[in-house]
Amino acid sequence: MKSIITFLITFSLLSAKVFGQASWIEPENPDVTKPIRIYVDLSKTTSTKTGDLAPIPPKDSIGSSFYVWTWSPKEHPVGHPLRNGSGEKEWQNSNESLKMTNDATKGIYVFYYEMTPTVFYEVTAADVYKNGISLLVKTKNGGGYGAADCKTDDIKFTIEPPKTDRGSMYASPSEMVQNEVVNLIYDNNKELNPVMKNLVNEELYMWVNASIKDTVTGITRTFAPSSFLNINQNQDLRLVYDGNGKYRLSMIPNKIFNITSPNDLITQVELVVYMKSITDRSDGQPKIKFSCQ
Amino acid sequence: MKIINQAKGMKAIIIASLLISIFACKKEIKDIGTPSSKIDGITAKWELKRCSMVDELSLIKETTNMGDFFTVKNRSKTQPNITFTYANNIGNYTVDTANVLMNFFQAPAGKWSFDNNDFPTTVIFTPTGGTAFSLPLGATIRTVDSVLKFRKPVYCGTELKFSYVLEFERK
Repeated sequence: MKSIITFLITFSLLSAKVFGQASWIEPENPDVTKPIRIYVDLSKTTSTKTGDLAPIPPKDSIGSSFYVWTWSPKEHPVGHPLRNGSGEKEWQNSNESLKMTNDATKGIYVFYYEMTPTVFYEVTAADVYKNGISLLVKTKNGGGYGAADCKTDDIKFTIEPPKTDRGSMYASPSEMVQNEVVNLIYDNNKELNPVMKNLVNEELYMWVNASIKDTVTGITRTFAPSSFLNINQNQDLRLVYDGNGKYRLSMIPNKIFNITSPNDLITQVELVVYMKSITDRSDGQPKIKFSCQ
Repeated sequence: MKIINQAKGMKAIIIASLLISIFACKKEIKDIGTPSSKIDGITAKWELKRCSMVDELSLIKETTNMGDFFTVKNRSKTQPNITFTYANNIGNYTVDTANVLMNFFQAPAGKWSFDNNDFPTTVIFTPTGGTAFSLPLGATIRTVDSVLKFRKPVYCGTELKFSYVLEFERK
């Protein structure tokens, strides 16, 4: 038994070594507005053309310099300081600013390039998440023009937007302004109360209770347009079903909370979702803060 | 003498060929007519059809459609529609404000102008009794265009928080 376990562990370690990934990004699920490292293990990359750099770099490549050559989400135009190459034969003259760094701690053939994608490509985060990052790795003189290329195959990274667990109720847009429209979203997919799970186009109401601070006296009061007992009589608090298990209450806080004085600031709103019968309510009862004061 | 005459003849042929080539290459410029007046394009009654909010702080610019807010939540079902008029080189606008939940144009009426009458990118609003503000046009606005699109930014202090995307249809 002991020998079988030893064999399995050894096999797993070998598998990781032999079949490990050729390229990856750190951190794994990055915020593309912050610095990331793009890693490429040149001992594991592929190349479809004879004479190209990979899969195993030539022995003399140790100590050589490698460069990224990238075109997505955006390729910089001629003259841009981060253009892939320069001169008449750009492919044979990579930009020094795109030089990769060897990470010996990960392997002698492992190189990385560090960038903040939105800054490097001069695009929005949404563009990066939509298009991903495409590049290849090459030597400074990439060959070509009749000679063999010295490069890896194209490498594409698909980057998922960071997942933010907002719970079953949240505001969208995320920051609320009390004299503008506010959308309070109830995501029934995240409901924990078994009675209220999987509701489709159900008649639901949101009890909203605002904490309002008088900036002159410093006194804070609370105000709810309806008590939960008669909430199903107030159509202003009825949720609209937007599909995919999501419901929405759109409102203008100043109007629904009857605020007329400019001294009154809403600091937070407490939310609870009720069924029409008011016998059942959501498990989540969050308090959402107003950030624009 | 014969050789000189032949040379002169050749020269004439070359010049004639060049002239023919030049005139043959000259593109025929077709008159595409007078550019459509953008002032005529915007002067109309416009009805709000779609409204959404874009979270400018979100990495993916999360968008929430809330056009029904003006019809479902407003029992009078009145939309904040807008009418642009233009006379004597002065633009005026009026907004349907009776029983409307929100007026995106600050006042029930005011004056308007383009940043450039021939190639407008922005409409400058001067609400009566209010402060002038401008909204960028989402698309060109000619008499043939049936949709008028604005993006209205909302700030907290100097920080952009979100934007309304308003789409009106010509009535």
